[in-house]
Amino acid sequence: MPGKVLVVDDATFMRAMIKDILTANGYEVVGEATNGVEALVRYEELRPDLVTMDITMPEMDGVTAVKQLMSRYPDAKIIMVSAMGQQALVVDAIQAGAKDFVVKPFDVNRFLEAVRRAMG
Amino acid sequence: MTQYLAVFLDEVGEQIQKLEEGILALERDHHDREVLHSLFRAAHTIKGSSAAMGFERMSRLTHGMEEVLDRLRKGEASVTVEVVDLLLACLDALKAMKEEVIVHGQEITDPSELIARLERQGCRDVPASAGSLSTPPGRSDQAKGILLNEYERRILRQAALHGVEPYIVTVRVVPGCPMKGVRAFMVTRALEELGEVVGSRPSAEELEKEQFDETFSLIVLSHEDPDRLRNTVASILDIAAVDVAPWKEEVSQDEEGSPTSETRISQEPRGPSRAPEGAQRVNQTVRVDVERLDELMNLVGELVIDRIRLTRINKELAGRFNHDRLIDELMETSRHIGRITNELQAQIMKARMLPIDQLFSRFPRMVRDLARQAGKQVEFLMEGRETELDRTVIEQISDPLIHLLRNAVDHGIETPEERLKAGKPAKGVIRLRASHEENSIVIIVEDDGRGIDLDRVKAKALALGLVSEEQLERMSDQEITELVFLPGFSTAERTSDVSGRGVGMDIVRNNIQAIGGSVRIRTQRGTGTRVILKLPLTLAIMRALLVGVGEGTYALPLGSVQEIIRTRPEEVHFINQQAVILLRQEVLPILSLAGLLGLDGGQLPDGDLLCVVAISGDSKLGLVVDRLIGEQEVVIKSLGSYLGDVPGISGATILGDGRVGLILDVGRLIWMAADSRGRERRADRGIPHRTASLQPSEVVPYRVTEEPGEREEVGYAR
Amino acid sequence: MVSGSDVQQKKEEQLVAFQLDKEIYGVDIAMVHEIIRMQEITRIPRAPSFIEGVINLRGKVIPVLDLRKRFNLPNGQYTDKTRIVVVEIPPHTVGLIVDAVSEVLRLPVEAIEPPSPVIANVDVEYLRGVGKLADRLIILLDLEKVLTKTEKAELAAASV
Repeated sequence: MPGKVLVVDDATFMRAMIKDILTANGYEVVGEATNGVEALVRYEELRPDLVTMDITMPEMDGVTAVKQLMSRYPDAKIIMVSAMGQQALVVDAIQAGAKDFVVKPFDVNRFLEAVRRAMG
Repeated sequence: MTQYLAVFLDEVGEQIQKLEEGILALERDHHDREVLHSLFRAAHTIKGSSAAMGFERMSRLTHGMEEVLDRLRKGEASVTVEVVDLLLACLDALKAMKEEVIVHGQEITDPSELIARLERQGCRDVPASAGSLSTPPGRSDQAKGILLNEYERRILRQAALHGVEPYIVTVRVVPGCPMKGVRAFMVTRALEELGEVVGSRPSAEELEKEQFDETFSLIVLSHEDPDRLRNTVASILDIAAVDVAPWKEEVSQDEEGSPTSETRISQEPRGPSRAPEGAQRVNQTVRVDVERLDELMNLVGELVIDRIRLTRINKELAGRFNHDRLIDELMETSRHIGRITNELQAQIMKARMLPIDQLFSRFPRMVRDLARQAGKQVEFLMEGRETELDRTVIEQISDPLIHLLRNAVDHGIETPEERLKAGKPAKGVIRLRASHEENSIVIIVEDDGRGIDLDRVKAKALALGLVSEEQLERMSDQEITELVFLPGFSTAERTSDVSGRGVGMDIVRNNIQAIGGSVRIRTQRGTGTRVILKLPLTLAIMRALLVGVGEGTYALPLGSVQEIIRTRPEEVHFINQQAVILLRQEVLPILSLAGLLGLDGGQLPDGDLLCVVAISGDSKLGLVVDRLIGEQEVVIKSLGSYLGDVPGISGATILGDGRVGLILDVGRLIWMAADSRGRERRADRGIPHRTASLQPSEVVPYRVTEEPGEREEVGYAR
Repeated sequence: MVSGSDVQQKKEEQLVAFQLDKEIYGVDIAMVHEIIRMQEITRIPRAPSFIEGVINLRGKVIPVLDLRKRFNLPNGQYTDKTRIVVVEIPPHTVGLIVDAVSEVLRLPVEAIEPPSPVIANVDVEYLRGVGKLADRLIILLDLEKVLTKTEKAELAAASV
């Protein structure tokens, strides 16, 4: 199932990796953002089908970005990409409306499964 | 959970106190059944709440105590010196644990040895686990061996009565599942969309802390069928297996005598009005962090907004598709939510209330000291100290009351010599009274002193240029009295100290009006003065009349609305270009609200006029509006620091449709109305209110110009 | 607030760029709380003209300024591109109405020059500098001045 994805992460490496995984599996990465505010602006501009969202980022963290995205676009589909030990933040993000989460370092298949379920 | 810690500790403290008293009583009389019952209940209460809070050592220890006490009270064992000693040792351990919880956030004392001793007292050896706590031994529920506590059982029973199915949903996550606590949270959340999750094994906190292997169970109430629940959970990532089993209650034999009331009551709000449920229950109190109450109030505020929105959506739906069963059901449900929200609001309001004695109690000393300084003899009487009002209101009225009392001592009460000369007792009386009056609180400060000398007020107002001679002539005594509220009046007063009263009266009025209250003065020369403050019960939510002007919606505090009238054009008269109407023999100036707010030129609309009679103190003004929207509870919000003070607007509120409505400051509007007619600081800022027959020559209306006699009575004209 | 010396220390600035009349303006991303679509605004009686009113931002009431009016630019129409940029300049939270939000930009500090009166139609005292990015000019706003400069006087005048 193809779809447009916005990848939000402040680490270039992570963005590249996520982009590679998604592209290799038929998804289109339509944009990237390196912090929450940028994610909001890009979302506004690109209207992607899915957002992968890092949690710890400068300017505006991922949880705040989820809250703001969801308040404006209740249909937004967001998957949190979390580091280990960020349980509480992941819970916050899910409470705010994020569809699912993966924990870095993640298993590629599990990540794709989360993407598939979130888009479905 | 941590937010309940203070409440928990308070309660444990109380129960420890009871245990201590009880054990000592038991030492004196080994056969006192009553004492045994009360000890049992105390141990049971601590057991339940400590388990709920996750203080496992404390709950294990009290569980052991409870078992022993249960046997003693049933006469299956007898009280011995040894038992008393053991109970006292347990008590000491509990006290230590409580301190440890306060200091370290957890228990440190190891109760194992005591528990072993308790068990040796001949009790059944049933270790308490979090799940079985507060469930009497022998009671179990069949599904997956889950033991429900009394609270859960009660909910499930209630739900079953309403035809909602209780289920035990047992979930296994995949091995090595990352952040399984979050998965458990997602499962809970998904089920909450289909029903209500009333409990879990392990507890929600343990789930969150990932204190489980791969399996956990949730107790769920739902209208949905089991398959739907199963599929929903199964669709979540990393879930290996789901089992959904209906829950049925086993018939329990020892319902009677099961001391469940304590655990139950501790789950319920403890408003002061709520009668204790168990006859033997002593009224318990807890201290709650004030900020927490504010937060709660904010949340309820949001809820009130949503409730209003829901009602609106409902109405719209009903208008679009009439007589749909679902809409009726929705209506029913939203009405129910409305009732619950009201109740919740009332309960939180109550929790925010403080007896006004908190403030009053400092006054006797203050009045005494002031009287001594001033060389007066004063008897200070207070009534209604138990009257409760919102703590924010109490904070706001502290300064005004100090001003008023100081005035009463300094300027109201005469010196003993003067009083004797006037045929009064040497000792003056100052009375401070608080009482409830419908939706407000009335506070009266009254003295039996010399009263306000109106001639001096007049002279001073003239000297200060606040009024003209001719204006004074037209003013009633009451209006003259109210001159003391004028800003210029009191300021000068402080330095010159000419007449009887006045320190900061403008400040008093401002402070009181700022919180939506009003001030009136009644005075009689030689007999005394009475100042009457009328205050709202709370500052967070108020009832308001919503009116529409142009495209905007404005809220008028209901306390400032006397009535709403519809006026035909021919009933409008003009006196000095000011539109007035006659309302029950009273001349009422009317103004367009839009004009007053500067939204348009202020011309009255054609046709019938919709007029809200707004009142502030003794002043009245008819505000002509375009639409009446209705009466509603509004949550008061600040306009924020950037805009600062907006004339005529005291705040904002979120309307049912999500738009912002502005809350009108009626006192200020009336003042602005007077001001806008070019009569700066006019003496009769109030609109003359005395009765007059409609003979324009006698009418002393809200004058527009200074020229006398320029009356126009042209009926209605634009 | 980013002062001149802060700018020197950083290698580049991150800006939220928006369009107003014919120019692109930038504000420090750290001050931008969020960007929302145009919504119904409740007018505030007797407020200065550039204060468009107040909006409901998830239960909080915040004032909204029309930047065109603030800068005395020709009045524009609100379109579906019109945005409210919510900025936080403690203690204030205010919304700024702009024609469109274009992007988030990174601007090397070397590319920032002091404001010059000929660059923009906006009074130079509201400007922090002018950035050059490729062939574009980004006008950097000094938000604190935009909010507070002379407003106090105007707000006070309005409330008399």
